[in-house]
Amino acid sequence: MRSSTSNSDVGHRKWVRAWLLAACLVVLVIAAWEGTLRQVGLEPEYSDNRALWLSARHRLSQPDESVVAILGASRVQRAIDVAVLSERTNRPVVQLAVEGSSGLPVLENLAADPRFRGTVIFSIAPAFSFNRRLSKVGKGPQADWTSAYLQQSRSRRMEQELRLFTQGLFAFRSADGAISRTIPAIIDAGKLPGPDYKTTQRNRFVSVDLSQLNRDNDQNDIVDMYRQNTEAYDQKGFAEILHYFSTLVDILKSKGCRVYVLRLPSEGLVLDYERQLFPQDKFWKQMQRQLDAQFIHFEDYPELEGYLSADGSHVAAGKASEFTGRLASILTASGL
Amino acid sequence: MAFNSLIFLIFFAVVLCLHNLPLTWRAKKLNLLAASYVFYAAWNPPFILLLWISTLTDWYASRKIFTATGNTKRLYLVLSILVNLGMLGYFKYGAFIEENFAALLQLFGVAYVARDSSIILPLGISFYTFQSMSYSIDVYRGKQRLCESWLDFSLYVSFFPQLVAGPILRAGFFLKQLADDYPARVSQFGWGFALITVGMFEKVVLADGLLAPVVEKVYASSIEASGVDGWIGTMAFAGQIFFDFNGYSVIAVGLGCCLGFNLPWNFLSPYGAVGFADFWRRWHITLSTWLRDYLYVSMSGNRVSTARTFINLMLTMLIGGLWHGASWLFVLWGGVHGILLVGERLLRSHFGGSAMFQSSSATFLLGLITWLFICLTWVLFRAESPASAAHLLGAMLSLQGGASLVSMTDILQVALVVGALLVIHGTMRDRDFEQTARNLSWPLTGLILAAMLIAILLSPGEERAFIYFEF
Repeated sequence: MRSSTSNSDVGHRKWVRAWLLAACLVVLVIAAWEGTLRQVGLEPEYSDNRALWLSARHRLSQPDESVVAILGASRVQRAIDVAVLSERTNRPVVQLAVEGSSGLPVLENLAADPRFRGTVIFSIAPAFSFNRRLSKVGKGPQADWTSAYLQQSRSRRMEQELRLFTQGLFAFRSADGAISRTIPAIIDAGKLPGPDYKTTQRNRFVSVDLSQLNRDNDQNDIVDMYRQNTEAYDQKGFAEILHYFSTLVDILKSKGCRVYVLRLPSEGLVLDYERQLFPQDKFWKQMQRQLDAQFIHFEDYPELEGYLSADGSHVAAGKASEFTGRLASILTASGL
Repeated sequence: MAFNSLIFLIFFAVVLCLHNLPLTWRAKKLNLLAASYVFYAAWNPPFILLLWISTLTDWYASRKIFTATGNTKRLYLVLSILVNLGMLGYFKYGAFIEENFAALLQLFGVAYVARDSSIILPLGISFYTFQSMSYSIDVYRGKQRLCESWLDFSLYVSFFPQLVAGPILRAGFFLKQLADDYPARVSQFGWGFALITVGMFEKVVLADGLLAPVVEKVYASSIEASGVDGWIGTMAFAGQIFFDFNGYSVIAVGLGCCLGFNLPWNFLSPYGAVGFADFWRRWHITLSTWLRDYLYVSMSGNRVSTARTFINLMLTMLIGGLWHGASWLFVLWGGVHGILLVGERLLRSHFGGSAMFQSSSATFLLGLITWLFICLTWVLFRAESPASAAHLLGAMLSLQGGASLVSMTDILQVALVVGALLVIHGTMRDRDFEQTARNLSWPLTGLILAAMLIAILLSPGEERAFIYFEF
C-alpha cells in the first residue's frame, strides 16, 4: 500500500513559494472580482432560502413574551418591513413567512414549542392557507423547513450563521453576484448584470421590483398560479383546516400567546378571483366565528389601500415601509 | 461537522495550533482524542456512546484474546464481532430486516406490519466498527501486538480526519505512528494543505457545483429519463461519487499530514482500471482490502476449489454491497460486481495469456469497456428504487429517445469534467500522484492551488453532505 507522504522532504522552499504565490493571486483575483461586482451595483445580499428561515426561527428559541412572529406566504413577506414594524411596535419581529406556502405547519410548530410565548401575526393568503396539500403538517416547504429546524444540531446552526455572516460581507457570495448568474450574462450580453429585481434582507424582508412588468399579464399569472394551487380546494377541506387552525390557536392562547389573523390587500383580477373562490361571508366570517383571535381585514382599513404593485397581490417595492407603518398603527391600536 | 464547512476550518485551526504547542506527546495525543470526540459529538452528542462502546469492547476483548487460549480466545473474538456488528445491524439494518421480515410473513398470509422506524443512522458507524473490530481479529490471528496504551488505542479508533468516512485504518499501520512525536515539517504542511485544497475543489466545485445538479435532474425527476438522459446522468454520477468520496479521502490524508501522520490513499485512478479486479484494487482501497483480508480470506479465499472460490467472491461482493446501505439495490450492485469479477476470472483463465490483449490499443479498449460496465452498475447504486433503476438501465441500453431532462449545457459540462477525469485516470494509472505533484515547479503549483481556491470561494454557498456519510 502506498502511503500518502513519504518521509522524504518534498521541498520546503517550493511549498513556501507556491503558497505565497497562491495566496497573493487569490487575494488579488477575489478583491478585483468583488470590486467589479460592486461597480455594477451589486452589494452583499442574502438568499431567501432555508438557511435564512432557520436562522430566523432560532430567534424564537428563547422565551420572550414581546416577540412577534409573522407567518404566511410571499404577500406578508413583501408587505411587512421587519425593521419598521420592530421599531414602531418596540418589539423584536421575526419573519417566518415562506413564498407560495401555508403558514399552518409553522403555527403548529410554534404551538408545540413551550418556549414560544409571543404574538403571532398569521397572514391569510386564501390560495395557500386553505390549500389541503400545503396546509397539512408534513407537506410543503414550511413543513420541510420546520422539520429541519427540529433536527438541526448546534454545529449545523453555527455553520449556517457563519455562512450567512460571509454572505453579508461579500457581493460574490450573494445570489446576484454568483458565478452561475454572472458568467452566463457575460457570455450572452458581454457585460455583468446589474442587481436582480428581488432583494432579501438579513431579517427576511423581501422586496420585489415588478415595475417593468405588464400589469394585466402579471395579474393573470398570479391568478393562474392561484388556480393551480386551489385545485384541491373544497368546502369540506376548508372546514377541516379551520378546525385544525382553531385547535392550534387555542393551544397558543393557553400558553398566553396572542394571535392576529391578517388579510392583506389585493386588487383587480386577483381580488376578483379571491372573492369568487373565497367569498367573505363563507370564509372570513367563518374564521371570525371559530378562531379565538383578533382580525384585521384590509377592507375594514382604507388606509391600507393604494400600496400594491402591478401584480395586484403584493405591496410594491419601496412602499413597504410606509405600508408597515400604517399596519403598525392598526396593530398597536388593537393592543399589540 | 463536515470537512467542507466553515466551522470545521475553525475547529481544525484550533486543533492544529494546540497540536503544535510545546507540549508532551501524551498531551498532544490527548488533545487529538478530545478533538476527535468533539468532532463526532458535534453531529449528535448521544451517539458518541457507540464510539466508546466499540472502543471499550475491542480494548477489553483484545486483551482477553491475547492472554486466553482455545475456545476462550475464540469467545472473546466473537464478543468483539457481535458487539460491533450488533450495533451496525441494529442502527443500519434494523428497519430493513423488519420490513423484509414483514414482507416474508405476508407471503405466507401472516399479517404483520413493520413499525414505522425512525432509527437514526449514526455517522461513520460502518467505518469505525470495521476499524475497531479488525484490531481484535489481527490480535486473534497473531498479526498484531497488543496495544499497551489505552490512549493510543482510543485515538486509533476515533482519529477525526478519517473517523466518519475512512480511509479505514489498520492498527499495525497507525499505532506505530502514535509511538513517538514526529512533528510535521514545512513541506508536510505545504503538501497537507495542498491536499486539503485539492479535496475541497473536488467536492465543492466538481462534485457539488458541476455534476450533482445534472445527476439530480435525471435521478430525482418524476419524468422518465430517455437513454441520453440516463447516460449523461449516470456519467455525471460516476464523476460525482468519485470526486465526492475521493475529495473526502484526500482531505483526510491532508489533515493527517498537517498533524504529522500518514494515512493511506483510498483511490488510485480507479477509472483508469483495466478489468474489474483492477478496479477494486483502485476504488475504495481500504474497504476492499478489509473485505479481502477479514472476509474473503476468512472463507479460505481462492485456496479452495474454483467453484468455492467463486462463491466466496460472490459472498464478499454481496456483503460489500450491503455494507453501503440497507437496500436490495446495494446488494444487487455488489452482486453484479461479483458476477463481473467471476466472469473476468473465467475469461482470464482462458484468454489471459493471449498476446492480443497485451497491446496498448487493447488495453485502452478494455479500459473503456470496464468503465462503461462500471457506469451501468452505478445506476443500481444511485437509483431511488428498483423500478427506476430498471427503467434507466432499459433506456440506457436501448438508447431510446433524445435528451429531455438534460440540456446541451449539461451534456457539455459532464463531457468536459468526466472526460478530463478519464484522461487523467488513464494517464495516471501507473503513476504516483505525490511523485507527479513533487515534480511540478513551484510557480505552476502556486497557480494550480490559486485557481482551485478561487473556484472554491466563488462556488455557490449551499453545503451538501458527503455521499459516504450516509454509509
